[in-house]
Amino acid sequence: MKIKYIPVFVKDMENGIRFFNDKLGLKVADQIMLDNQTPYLPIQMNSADLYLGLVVDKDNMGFKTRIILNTTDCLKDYHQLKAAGICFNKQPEYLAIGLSAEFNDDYGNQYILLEERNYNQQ
Amino acid sequence: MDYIKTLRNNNKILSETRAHRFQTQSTSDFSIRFALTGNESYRLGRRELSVYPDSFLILNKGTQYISKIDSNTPVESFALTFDQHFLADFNRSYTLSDVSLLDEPQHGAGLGFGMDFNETIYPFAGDMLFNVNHLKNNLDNGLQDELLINEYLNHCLINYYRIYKNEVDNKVDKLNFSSQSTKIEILKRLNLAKDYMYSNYNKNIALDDLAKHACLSVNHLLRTFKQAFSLSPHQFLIQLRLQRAKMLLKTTHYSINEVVCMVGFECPSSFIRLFKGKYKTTPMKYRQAAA
Repeated sequence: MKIKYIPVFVKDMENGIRFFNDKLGLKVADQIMLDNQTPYLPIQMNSADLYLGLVVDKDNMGFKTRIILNTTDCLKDYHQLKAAGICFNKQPEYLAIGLSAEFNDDYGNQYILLEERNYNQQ
Repeated sequence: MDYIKTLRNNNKILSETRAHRFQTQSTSDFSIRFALTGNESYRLGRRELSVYPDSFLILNKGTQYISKIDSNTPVESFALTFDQHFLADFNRSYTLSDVSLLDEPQHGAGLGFGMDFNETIYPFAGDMLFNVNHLKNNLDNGLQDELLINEYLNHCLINYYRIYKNEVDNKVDKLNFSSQSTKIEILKRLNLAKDYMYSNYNKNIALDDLAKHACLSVNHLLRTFKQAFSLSPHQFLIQLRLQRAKMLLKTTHYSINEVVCMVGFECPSSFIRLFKGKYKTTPMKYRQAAA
């Protein structure tokens, strides 16, 4: 057993696709039905067999997801995402685990950019 | 890879690999100096300071210095120089509240001009090490985006200010004197002793010489060094030798016996015992795991 799909709820699918394609630079694959009523658009994270499933929150339930995106260079990705039009609600800050910055999508899902740093190996 | 990059805001980055070099210079602006491999020695007045990959040196604007590289293997020097306006602006945003910055965006813009940091050797570790490595890798791979380069430089200053707080402000606070100016003067002298150990760690350092170098009596040095660094000078030197031995074990193929001599230990068995006490592994096992 393994985790394969993590749902990300959006108000509007087109808007969601634009956010992932244009701003995050992630590819959205063809629609799949993970149950009988709800279409999901899978977004593959790197080459791993793990997908974010973009899904419309039809009943306005206000579901929110918190996604931690791992990076090898937080400042570089922060800078590139800002240039792509992402508004960060937390600038890069130093944590015990490494360097981290935060942004939201239009629907209020939260994305954390995290560069884990192993300070003990130095 | 060799380059000197001067940004539009006059921040500068220098990367140079040399086995031999001798320069007499004066710093145009506040500068942070690294030796990413090997070591580079600096002469500041009568002080001799050696920078290794586990440490860095800062030089204030206008400091006259001689730098020297004389090595069998090439030494990678890397230096960040900050324009005084950039440094002053950083200092304001670091020290003032958001409200003050919004109310008076230009007020006190001169703050930071003439700022003098303690020109001593600081530990090159933690976030500073990560950020400098990222910056260097990106520049080596052709990064031209000045906004991103300045983002890295800004974070290097954030990292430096934190290191400064740890290495200077916190140590001043630990000294057991009522007068702040006495504390600052004592720490300056203790840093002379620390720099001497950083630069001569592989030699036989006599306590008398160390005290003389720091312009303190032996007793005064022993008492105040322990207060500030929470270690005696002897313990500090042992930790430094172990740290440098660890670096050699990881990055070179010298035998354990050679490493023992290179870092100034006299006896391999006591080195192995001390290494095991600090790192919970033997030098040989550490080398195998790091390979």
